Amino acid sequence: MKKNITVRTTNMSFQFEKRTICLTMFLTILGMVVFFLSLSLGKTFDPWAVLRVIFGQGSKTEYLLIVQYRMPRVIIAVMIGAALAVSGAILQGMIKNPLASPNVVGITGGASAAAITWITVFPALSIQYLPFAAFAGAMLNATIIYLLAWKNGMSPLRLVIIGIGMAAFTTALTSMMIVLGPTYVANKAMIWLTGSIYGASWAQITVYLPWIVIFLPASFILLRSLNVAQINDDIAIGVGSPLAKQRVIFLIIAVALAGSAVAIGGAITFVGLMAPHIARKLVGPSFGGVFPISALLGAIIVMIADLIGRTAFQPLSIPVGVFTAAIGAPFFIYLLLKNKS
Amino acid sequence: MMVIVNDNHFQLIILHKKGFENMNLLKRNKAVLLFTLLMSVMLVLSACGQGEDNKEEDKAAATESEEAASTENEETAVEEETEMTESEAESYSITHAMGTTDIQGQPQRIVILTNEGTEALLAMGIKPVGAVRSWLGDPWYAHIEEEMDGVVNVGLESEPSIEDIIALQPDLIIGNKQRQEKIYDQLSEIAPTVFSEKLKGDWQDNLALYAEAVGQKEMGEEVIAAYFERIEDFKSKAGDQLDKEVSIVRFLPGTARMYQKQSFSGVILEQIGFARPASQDVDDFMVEVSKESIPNMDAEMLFYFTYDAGDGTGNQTEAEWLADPLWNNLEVVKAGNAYKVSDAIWNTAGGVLAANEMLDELYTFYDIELN
Amino acid sequence: MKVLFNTATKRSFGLVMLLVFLSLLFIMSMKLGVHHTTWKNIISTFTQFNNSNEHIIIRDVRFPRSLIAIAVGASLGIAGALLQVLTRNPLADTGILGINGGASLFVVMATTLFSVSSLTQYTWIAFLGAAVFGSIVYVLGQTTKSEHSPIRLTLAGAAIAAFTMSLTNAFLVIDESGLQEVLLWVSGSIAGREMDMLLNILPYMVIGWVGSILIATKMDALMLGENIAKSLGQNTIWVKATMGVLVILLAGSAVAIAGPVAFVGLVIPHIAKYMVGLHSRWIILYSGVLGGCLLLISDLFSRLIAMPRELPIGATTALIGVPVFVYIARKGKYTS
Repeated sequence: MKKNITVRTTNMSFQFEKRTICLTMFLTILGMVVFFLSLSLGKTFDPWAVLRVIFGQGSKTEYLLIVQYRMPRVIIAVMIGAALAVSGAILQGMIKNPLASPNVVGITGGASAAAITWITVFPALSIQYLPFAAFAGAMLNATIIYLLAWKNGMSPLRLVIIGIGMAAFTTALTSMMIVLGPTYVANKAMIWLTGSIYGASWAQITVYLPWIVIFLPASFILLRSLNVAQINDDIAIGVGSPLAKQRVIFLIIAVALAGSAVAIGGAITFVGLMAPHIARKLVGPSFGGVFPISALLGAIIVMIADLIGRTAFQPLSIPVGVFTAAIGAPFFIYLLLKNKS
Repeated sequence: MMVIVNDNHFQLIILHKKGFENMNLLKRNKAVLLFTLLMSVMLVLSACGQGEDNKEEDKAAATESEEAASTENEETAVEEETEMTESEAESYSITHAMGTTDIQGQPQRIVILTNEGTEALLAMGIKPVGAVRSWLGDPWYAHIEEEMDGVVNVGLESEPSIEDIIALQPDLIIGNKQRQEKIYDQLSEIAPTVFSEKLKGDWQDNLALYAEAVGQKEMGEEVIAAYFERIEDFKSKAGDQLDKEVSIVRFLPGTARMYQKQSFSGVILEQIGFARPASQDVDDFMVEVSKESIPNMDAEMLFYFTYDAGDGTGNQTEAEWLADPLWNNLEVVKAGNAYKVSDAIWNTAGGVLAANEMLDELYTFYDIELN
Repeated sequence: MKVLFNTATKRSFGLVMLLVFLSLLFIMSMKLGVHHTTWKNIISTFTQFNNSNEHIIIRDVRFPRSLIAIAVGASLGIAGALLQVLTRNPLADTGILGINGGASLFVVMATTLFSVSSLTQYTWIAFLGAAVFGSIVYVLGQTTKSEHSPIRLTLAGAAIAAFTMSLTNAFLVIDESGLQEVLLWVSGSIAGREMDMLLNILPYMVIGWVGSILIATKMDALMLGENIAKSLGQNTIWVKATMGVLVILLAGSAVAIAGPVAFVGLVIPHIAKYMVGLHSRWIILYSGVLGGCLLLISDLFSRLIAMPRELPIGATTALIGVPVFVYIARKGKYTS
């Protein structure tokens, strides 16, 4: 049996492993199952209610519960999971280090510091501006990191080291803001810092959707060059070289994806680290496979984490970040040990 | 500095090196197709959701009236009805922190999402069907435990469970912008939702709003008036005891705070007309301090309370501070005028019932005949 | 390499000057604060204690606090100096490499899961956490046997630090702890620490300090490279293992008392090296004294800037430390 499927055009060809395609399909189905489960499970487990609602037969309560409450939340989980995972995949590829992830290199930190500063300095302003502040913070921090890391050209490694420093800086800023801000901010800040998609709504989805629709496909279209960039060594390269431009583009995509995800869901950790790893484990290192598989895995991980956080301790809801950390932690340790041998 | 990065993690499958210059041609790539397909599946799904949205709404609207009628819960509705018979099933609109909301008829199934709001409703003789958990107590504060028997706990004020709220099928939801702004739209889908603007020491404005929201404006005014009557009574009987400075201190795990004029206890002390020490005679909420500030806590009366969520860390801090030589150097402590009071009543609950209970305690502390 | 003090006499003189500076800071730290005190108060506190508020504040609040700042600063500074040699990484710091975070995580886990509250237990748990995560980071940072890649190590450390921080956060959120505790275990703080705590932990710190000074002669050879050290007849494995234990002792005890204070161990050894050149024993001595100075300055800043509130000291050291970190990171060449 042929192992690979090759797509040929006049002057290039691209090859896909069957395995990748099968896995993509499998994970898509798995994702849909989890999606359906998430819609069905709450105080009670009622899959028929979901079907009733889908076919327009549900009662008002069922409609509210499933369409207005659970569905936007699960969709946001899917979007955030996919965005964080692909962002992590890009960063790991670009920096050529398996431990890189949006929160290690300061994107999450920038967003958090900006968000907490925003709540502290403008406590009276509506919370709906918060995602914009967070996103601006992620962008600003990424830009600062990029500029500080620029020295006769760009080296991804210097970028990540400076990113680590800036992550510590933003953590410090965040702590200061919490201390100096009004009391009730502290509670919001803690939830933000752990990551929570509580209160996800259709309105939020409409705001967030463009980011996903633009940047996920963009990353995928450009992924071929990431493959190439990866086999090139890590010599710092000058302005104007195609590689430097591509790195900037990839960095922008990674920041846009992670920044917008953090803006909506707070500092959800480990997804950007875990998903690409599992993906590589499953389909090998080619980004043609890693990207879609990572996206799917990220979506599934966040969906499951939120499902547990939402249902396990009712009526209390545990921030989704607690569970991504809980799932991520053992995995992370496994990864570290595995990486050694 | 030499850097050796040696990850054999990434191995690559690349066939033609010049390929990456022709990225536009990648469009034919099967993976892209697949991925687009995947994304569109998700898009369709979400679109389904929104389509459902409109379809469902008509249907929902149609069934709404029967639903409401059929689900009237007798055991909670009975006692309310006796008091609410005067207000007929007419509609009224109310302006609040998030805009204007129309309320049809007399709300019977109220879900309340702030703790001070719970007390406001109870004070007006209204029992909510669902309420957020008290900050202390399991799940309700000791002073409202009896009245709250049978009320459904819908989770914490910061993140109440929407699922539980939907299940309660309320006809009015009352919340607060500072706490629940994020979910206002969703709550509005469930039932008419009224939000107060802020949570502050001064609870009267919010109570007035809540009273209006439940169609009991006069009742709300009465509750507030009764409270102020007591304040006046205390004032007239206390005489020159009011000139004695009152200090308010709170212990929390690992730290301590002085409560100032905008805090719950501060507002009540101000309304009565008590003098405060300079450190607390400030138009602010509170200030968190280290032990070095203990001398600034001195006054002629000192009330302290401790927030302990049950793990003992708050009480541990209290014990540590009370043993401190600086604390024992305070004139008020030496004179034996430092009293421990309930954290729930004097601070955390923050509602009208707590305010009245705090007044009761003040009557006792100042040896004034209770009115 | 430009060195400030290039002879033994000058170095001794420099050390004395630094000690004088440290004492000045110490006196400032006793004098300044929310409560007004006079210079006379400071002296009379120790000569004729009269139970006045001023005297109690100086004796029970500022004095222990200042000593703790010095002890923690010295420990972290020395731990950083050891770590930078041990890992051959100029960016090494017990905070950046996740050792502080590991100790912190273990303490938070012990308090939330097993309700441990005695300080002695805290200390041992902190040691354990520092040891576990220190070893993980060290092992991860190795590419081939005994050869370290600075970047790999820093990344491994950062990942561990992020990991421990989010887990610590998660534990504290579930436990609904007070915010003050959260800040302590995420950013570090020395507010409200008492003399007892210091006395409890001081023995471990002193072992760490003395041990570091003793092992310094072996470090000189190691700084030139593992092979050179071996050719000089040194048992490098033993030396490195001892250094590792010392780092864990120093970092663990610092975290047990002050939480994860970062960047002291990064900044200080570089200043020390600039002052005395590559002489390990001097570097260790200078790092200790300079670390004490830095933490005293940070602590003064933390408690004076927003009086009567206090900022977490770890946040202050980070704000001071990050620019230095960025400067050093930019100096390195990232090529193969």
